[in-house]
Amino acid sequence: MRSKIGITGMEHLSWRDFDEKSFEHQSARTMDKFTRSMIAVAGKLYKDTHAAEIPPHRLGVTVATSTGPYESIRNTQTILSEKGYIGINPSLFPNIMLSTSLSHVAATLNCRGPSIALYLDGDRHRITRYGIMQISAGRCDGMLALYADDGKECFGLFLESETSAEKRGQKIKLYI
Amino acid sequence: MNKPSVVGLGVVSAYGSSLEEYFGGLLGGKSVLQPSDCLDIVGDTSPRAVAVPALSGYDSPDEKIMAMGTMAIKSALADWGGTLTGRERVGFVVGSGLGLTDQLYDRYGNNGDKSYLSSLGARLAAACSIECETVYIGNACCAGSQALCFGADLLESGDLDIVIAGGIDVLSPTAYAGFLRLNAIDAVACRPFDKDRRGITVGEGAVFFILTKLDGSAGNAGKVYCRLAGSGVSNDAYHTVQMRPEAGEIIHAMETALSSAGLEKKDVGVIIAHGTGTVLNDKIESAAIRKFFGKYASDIYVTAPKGAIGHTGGASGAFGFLTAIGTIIYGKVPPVQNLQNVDPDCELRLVQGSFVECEQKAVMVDTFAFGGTNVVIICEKIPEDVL
Repeated sequence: MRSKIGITGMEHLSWRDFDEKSFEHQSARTMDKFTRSMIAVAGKLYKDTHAAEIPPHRLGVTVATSTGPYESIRNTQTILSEKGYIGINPSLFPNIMLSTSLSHVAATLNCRGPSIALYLDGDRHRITRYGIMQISAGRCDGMLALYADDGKECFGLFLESETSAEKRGQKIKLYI
Repeated sequence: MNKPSVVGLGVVSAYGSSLEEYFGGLLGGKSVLQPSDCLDIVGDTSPRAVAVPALSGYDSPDEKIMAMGTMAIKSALADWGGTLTGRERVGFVVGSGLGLTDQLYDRYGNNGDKSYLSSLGARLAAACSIECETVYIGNACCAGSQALCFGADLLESGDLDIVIAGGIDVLSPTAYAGFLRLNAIDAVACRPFDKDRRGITVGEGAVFFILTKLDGSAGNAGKVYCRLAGSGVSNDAYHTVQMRPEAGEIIHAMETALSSAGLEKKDVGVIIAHGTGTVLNDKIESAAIRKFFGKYASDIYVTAPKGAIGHTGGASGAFGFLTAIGTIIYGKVPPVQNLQNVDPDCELRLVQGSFVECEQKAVMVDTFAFGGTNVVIICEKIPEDVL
């Protein structure tokens, strides 16, 4: 019988309360607030659930949003309109893509399992879908499922199989 | 084995709007790279792109992507020949790297609605009168191939009977500007695996597929192109725009894809490479193929459609899958366009000059994205006893 799947960690961060000055990361200079908030939430979940004990290729990441990196896109396009391509900072350009937040989370926490970036159109409860399918199919043991809306908030869940949680002495807080 | 199978497809490409036209274009090797007015805004002296001629009249990116998507999806549904009316266990999965991003320019009258970018999937479904759950994957260059994997997972989980899945992207001045600044545009042409390659050329297009299991749940399938036999997804966990040099996670995705397909290395006859034409990517992909396939690598034909159709962004993996289908259906492997002198670091059985004829059991499709996600799909010929 397949192991049940549940949530062992939950974290929420409102945009207003996010203290970016205390955010430390070697690539912080090139990140926008959208990505920083995701890393802050993911890092807390990772630490609280002892996810480091899961082999990297068994640990996945879902990044989801309704807004996408809206402000970074707008800023890039304003520069492009005013100065042409030569005005674009190549280090900041990737911030127009949702996959950049995914990349930073995966690289920071060494998550090498299945990963995805989703636009959810307000339907935020669907952030667990991909993780459940991957864990059920036996492709990973745990999944960081993160949701952020530019200018508003970020929250995250740590999904995993019951077997995986038990191995690390973690308790499922909510079964799915 | 009752794997998800392709029973309909629709395409909008620079070569035309059918599998025959698209694949015929790849086989013929005619260049469709042309000067592009829509990229003028970036300030480059002579921007060129592989554009879809049928969409040249659209100025607004929103109107263009909706027209292109609607055309491809309706074409796929017509090709399938079935009806969605009265069906509840249907899903729609769209992959797009940049989607509606370029519509946010002030000149298009952006109204500040911050959830606008995420509306693409639901709007495409509505435009095609598809009433079902919609999933919109925005995972850069692998979005289209990941949409296929997601769709296959939905079918294999038993949640759905039919999935419409594919990838789409239109030419993006924003992306083009960024690629210029990353020195990733080849001013001559995209030359995958060539020793003088300098980068990508940009392209656009849309491909959608009707996926179902051949168990009668979607009615009797008239035609069956192939089955999506397996897939593997991993993340490099390395860099936002660079591939991990040792390619361990790509190899892991290849292993997962092949084992989930129930196949062995010797069963793969063709690889549709990601083949962007950038210096490092092609070198790393070549090394990954050689390392994973070992002694079989020298027997496997490798081609890369980006030399012909450019980098179609989030649609590129879906175009790779379409190329795999063409290879299986027509028994021909198209050449890598613009490949003159093979880079010694990219030593593979590359198809160069003109197409080769060969019957294949299985084709591997590689897609690697900015953000580190690697997606590998196995496209398998349907055994005659299944049809």
